[in-house]
Amino acid sequence: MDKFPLLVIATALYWIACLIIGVYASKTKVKKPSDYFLAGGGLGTIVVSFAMMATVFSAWFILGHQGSLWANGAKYLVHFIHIPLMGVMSAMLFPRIWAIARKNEYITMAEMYGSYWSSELLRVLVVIVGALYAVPYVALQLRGAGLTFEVLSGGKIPAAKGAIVLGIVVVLYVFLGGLKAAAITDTLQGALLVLASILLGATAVGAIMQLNPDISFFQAFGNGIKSAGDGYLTLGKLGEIWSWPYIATIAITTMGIYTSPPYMMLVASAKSPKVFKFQGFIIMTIVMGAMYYIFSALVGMGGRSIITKLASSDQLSLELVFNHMGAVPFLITSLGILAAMNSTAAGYLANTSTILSRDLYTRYINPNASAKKQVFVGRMMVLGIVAVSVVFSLVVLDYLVMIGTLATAFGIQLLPAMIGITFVRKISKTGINAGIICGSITVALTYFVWPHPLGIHQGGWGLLVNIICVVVGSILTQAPGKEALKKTHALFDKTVLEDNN
Amino acid sequence: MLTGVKKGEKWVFWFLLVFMLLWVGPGLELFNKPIMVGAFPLLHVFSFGGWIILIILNYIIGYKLETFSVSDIEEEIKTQELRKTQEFIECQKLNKGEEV
Repeated sequence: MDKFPLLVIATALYWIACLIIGVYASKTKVKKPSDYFLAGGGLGTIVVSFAMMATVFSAWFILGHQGSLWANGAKYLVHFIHIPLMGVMSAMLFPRIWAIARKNEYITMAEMYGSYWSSELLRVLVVIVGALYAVPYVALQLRGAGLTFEVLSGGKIPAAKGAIVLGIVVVLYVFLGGLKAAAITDTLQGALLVLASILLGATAVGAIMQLNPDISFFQAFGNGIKSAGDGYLTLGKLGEIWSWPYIATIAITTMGIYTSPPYMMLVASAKSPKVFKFQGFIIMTIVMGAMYYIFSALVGMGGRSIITKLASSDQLSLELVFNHMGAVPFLITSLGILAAMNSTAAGYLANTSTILSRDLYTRYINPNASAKKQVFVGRMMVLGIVAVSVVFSLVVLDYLVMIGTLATAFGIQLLPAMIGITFVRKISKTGINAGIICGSITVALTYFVWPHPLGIHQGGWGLLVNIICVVVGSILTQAPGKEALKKTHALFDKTVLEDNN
Repeated sequence: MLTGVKKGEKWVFWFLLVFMLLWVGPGLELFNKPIMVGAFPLLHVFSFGGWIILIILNYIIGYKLETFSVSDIEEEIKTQELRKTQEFIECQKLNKGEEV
């Protein structure tokens, strides 16, 4: 049975549903910019938690991680530690970021950091890092969508067309409903893609048992892993990729999703800071941890017992869907895979367009822009980002995982600033600015010019240079004064004002 | 140096540092052996153990450790937002010439 026509119909219905949500969200009255940009700051626990999960759960996870695990083995699985560590970040940092943003009515990260450190340069740097982060990340989703269409259509739809179609659909509903539309669709898509991951894991188990009827599942699973050789069980050699320094730095770099400018807006849109306890512990650490450590391992490492050759490791999940699933699981999983890309692209588009509208247009071009004008410019920015991302997805042909970690390598350069505004008040403006500039340049050089020197990931090099600049800069120059502390650290501990006297 | 973190709570940060060194740092080399534990590589089992430890740590951080009073801040901010919304509505009424 040719399943592709079914997939086309189901995808069309699913995208129509997304557009209807966009129209519904667009009915919200926009009295002030935060009504559109932060969904009025009233998103509840389930919506925020699932939206945050869906934004992380992208093509990177469902295609990239499974495929890279299949190709690299146990060493790749070690870096999944970033998922529960992101849960720790969520519980520790996000309630504070929420409080600072809402108390001072900051909508974007650039407003927050720029105001705390009194620096126009920092505002611009945050916007640049936000764009450097969002473009590859959205491009990664578009490339994933293109690959999905190409494999599942048996080559009838070329990857480039698939990428453009997803781009158009996402533009339409984000254009209409802003962050509210993205968050509502993310909630539904988050649930769908958890289901898709479970189905993928179950399919891998079924396929392994079917191909090895005479031995137990665990025996067959273990045999597949052993057949890949000793290198599949161990780390890479020191100085090469997948050695422990590479794993450590790629794990830390991946946490750059949480320090990126678009993500902060999702944090500020929550109704209450209590959301982040649930999000960090239940969703990120337990649900997503299980998706990574159990279901991803079943598909990626179990895949060794099912498929021994692939044109590209990114195709592993799609091959399982195409060749080993019945019609109903095929439809659910295919839609789940598309949902992963849809939701992530939509979330980042909504937030990055806001950043460009508020922090560039309103700040420097038209400071008196009305709320409606800001929203209009934000919508235009959505078009621009998608256009650049489509080009990026067609030009940079690295593996999905590598494109993803390039994006987060830029995002993690804002970690010292996030720690500075929430926990460590001694960090100075000069230190932060120098750190972001030198760190971002280092990331670009160690990705494009000298890839992974000494077997350390570009995000690790960037962060190392960044931290050195922050420490030296903060020793030599003065930390933010009492006024800045009143808006931030004093919210959590009044005694900081006494210390600063 | 860390805002709002009491002396007794600093262990969380030390624990995280030691954890990172062991689970994703040089400590990883101790488990870098081509050994299978049942059907799984030793590194896989080791990583799984790290996840379980972080589940426990995250529960403690999220639900047992409070480096500031979330409820107090939430209430303060909600009151501030409510006041501003009321002011906004009153301004709109005044603009329309209605009595406030």
